[in-house]
Amino acid sequence: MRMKTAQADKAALDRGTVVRGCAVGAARGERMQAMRSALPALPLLVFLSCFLVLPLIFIFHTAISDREIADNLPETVAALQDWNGDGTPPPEVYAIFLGEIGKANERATLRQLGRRMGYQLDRGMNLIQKAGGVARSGAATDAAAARTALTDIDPAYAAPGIWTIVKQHGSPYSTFYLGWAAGFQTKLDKDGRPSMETGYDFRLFYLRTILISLAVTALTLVVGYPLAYVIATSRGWVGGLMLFCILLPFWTSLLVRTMSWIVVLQTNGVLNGVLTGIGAVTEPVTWLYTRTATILVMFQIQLPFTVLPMLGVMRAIPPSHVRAARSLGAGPIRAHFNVYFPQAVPGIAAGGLLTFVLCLGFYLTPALVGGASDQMISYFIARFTNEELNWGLASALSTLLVVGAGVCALPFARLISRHSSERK
Amino acid sequence: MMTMRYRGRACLSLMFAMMLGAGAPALAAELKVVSWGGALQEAQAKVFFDGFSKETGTKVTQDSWSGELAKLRAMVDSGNVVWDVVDMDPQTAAAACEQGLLERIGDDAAFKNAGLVDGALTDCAVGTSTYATILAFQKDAFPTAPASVVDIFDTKAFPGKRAFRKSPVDTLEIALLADGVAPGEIYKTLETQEGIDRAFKKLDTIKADIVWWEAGAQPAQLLKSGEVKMAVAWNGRIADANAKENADLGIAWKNQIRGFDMWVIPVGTKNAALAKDFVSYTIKPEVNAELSKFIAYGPTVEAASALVDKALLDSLPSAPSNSDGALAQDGGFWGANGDALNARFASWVAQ
Repeated sequence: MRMKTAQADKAALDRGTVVRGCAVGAARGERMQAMRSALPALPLLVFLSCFLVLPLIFIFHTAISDREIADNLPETVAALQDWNGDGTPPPEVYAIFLGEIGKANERATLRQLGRRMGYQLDRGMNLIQKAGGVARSGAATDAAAARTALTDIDPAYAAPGIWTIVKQHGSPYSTFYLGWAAGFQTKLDKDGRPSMETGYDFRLFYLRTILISLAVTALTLVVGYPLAYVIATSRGWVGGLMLFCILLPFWTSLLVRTMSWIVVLQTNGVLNGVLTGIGAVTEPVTWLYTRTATILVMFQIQLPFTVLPMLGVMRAIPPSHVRAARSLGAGPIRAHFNVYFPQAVPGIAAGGLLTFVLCLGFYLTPALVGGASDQMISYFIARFTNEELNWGLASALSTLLVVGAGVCALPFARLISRHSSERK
Repeated sequence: MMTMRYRGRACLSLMFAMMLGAGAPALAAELKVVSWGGALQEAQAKVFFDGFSKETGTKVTQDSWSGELAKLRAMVDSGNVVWDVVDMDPQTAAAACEQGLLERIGDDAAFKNAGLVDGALTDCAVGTSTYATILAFQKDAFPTAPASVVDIFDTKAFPGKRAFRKSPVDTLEIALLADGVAPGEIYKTLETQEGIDRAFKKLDTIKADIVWWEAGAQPAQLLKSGEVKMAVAWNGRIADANAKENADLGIAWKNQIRGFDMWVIPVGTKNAALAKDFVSYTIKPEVNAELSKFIAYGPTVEAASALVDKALLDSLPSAPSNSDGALAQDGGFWGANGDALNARFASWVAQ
């Protein structure tokens, strides 16, 4: 920090020179100076831009890309612009649509289009596959025949639902996936009304993610604060031993730690063995696959992340401040909360924030020790990435998570930086 | 312009293809067969894979899956299909067939004339064995043993955790059976919105006690470790655990749901002809009958039924003593409604 202040002073001096003297040359010199001093950070900057910024941009881009209809049905979209959305479009649109379906079939992009339709329309994939069959048969030669062929093979083609969707999603970029991830998108039936099919309730999953993260953060703060206080103020081996105990879990992998919790928590596991052994319970308690287990294990994993920032701040609080308060007549509790605690706030905020933001992204622990209704948003991101292969939705869910975590972090980060600058 | 537009997608597909290890082209006379792992695949390996290898000199390599279509979908979409033959249940086969993922082998004369039992031959799939979804339970967990699959809903007489497969298939049927719908009316009821609501409402009554499983070997493990007291399971897996792992698990057969293990051939595989030879081999009566020796699943070929060892008959789903209130799984229903019901089920489970 002191280094930085020195640099700032120097920069201010330089700036003074600029005002007084020959502006252009000095400004260039200053820039060179700034660049040279940033040089050691270059590998980090390259690393960050390759492995954080670029992937983030790629994910944001995927979240707003919505190309299937624009790429496969551009002429149908254009032809639909004159259709007002009532009833069905004119027969010419059917002919154009069928022609473009035929081309998509040759390009082998028909299934992609079908999947995109299925996201928004009941039986969307099925409808597109059927149209592909009609296009392949080549029976429909004119507009009227095209219309008859399509409406015969599925009555949904004689309803406005599918045409409304095609008309509205003709642009290669849309907020479709973001809206879906935020819980605003509803599936449509063939008539364009909200479908009876119920999809995922993403708002509930975000809320659950936040609530679990808050619970874990609160637990680590309540347990971690006194712990950090004792370590920071103790002399000799007690503090060192406690610090060692806190750091110990850092040397074991997350997966191993979570798996060992399964051994402890399972129905015939260690915990139930102890509880029944001492007669606390008669029947084994179900711990595994519950919310309690999820929060407990996350708490154990996150405790060091909360304690260490607090510890750093607390160690810098001069003990003389509390002694001074005591000598002026404050009781131990009052002295602590009026003098010590306010100075520890930046550490509490930093530890709590670190834990909260890390918790938002938890995946492995809830997946292994939580039940089906304890899964957090990362589980669904993984599911849509790896299993359902809906990368648009997975990217949109990630985007909302990253933006949300950023919004949570900002005010706290400012609080922390303000406090640390006050302390200088 | 097109290449520009598809570059991002192609990039992702490539990454995915690399993850699947799909880089190298398949060698000639090598067949990749995918099944459900565990006891079933071990039995199939002994009877079908090894036998076919011996007869034709083809090297059969194996992979396993848990019924999620996404991986297959990714292969077909990226044009890099490395699975040659896949074991599917009837409803997944019907859904995949409808989405254009499978070769339409149902019209082949070789399969039509093979003498398969009713329902064992569909547009895209050929049945090779019959299995049943039954209720397995820890024998010492309850004073009176459960008698029927629907007893899984009776938390008063049978308290404790219970396991279901994390899929609407069979689960919704059992819920309706437990709610008093006759076996013959199940699929008619499920076709209406009220029927679906009714099934989910019934499931809500025990949701807090349910542990979900995904791989076929899990129910036996959950029962053995004491994590659950009863589980909806596939009969062959439970019989196998009893025989090989000294598990002492009971089976309630009443209201069993019968399904087929079916071979399908993904569209775009380079070994389609060889794959068909393999499927034909497994439905030769003498081969088809052999599987029952290694897992308690029945044959699908009429002529094979007579060849099955008499001592094994009682443990098969088709035994008269096991058939009370049995329901045959309707692959066609699930092919048409699977996507919608899967979506609703997945969101219900996660709530």
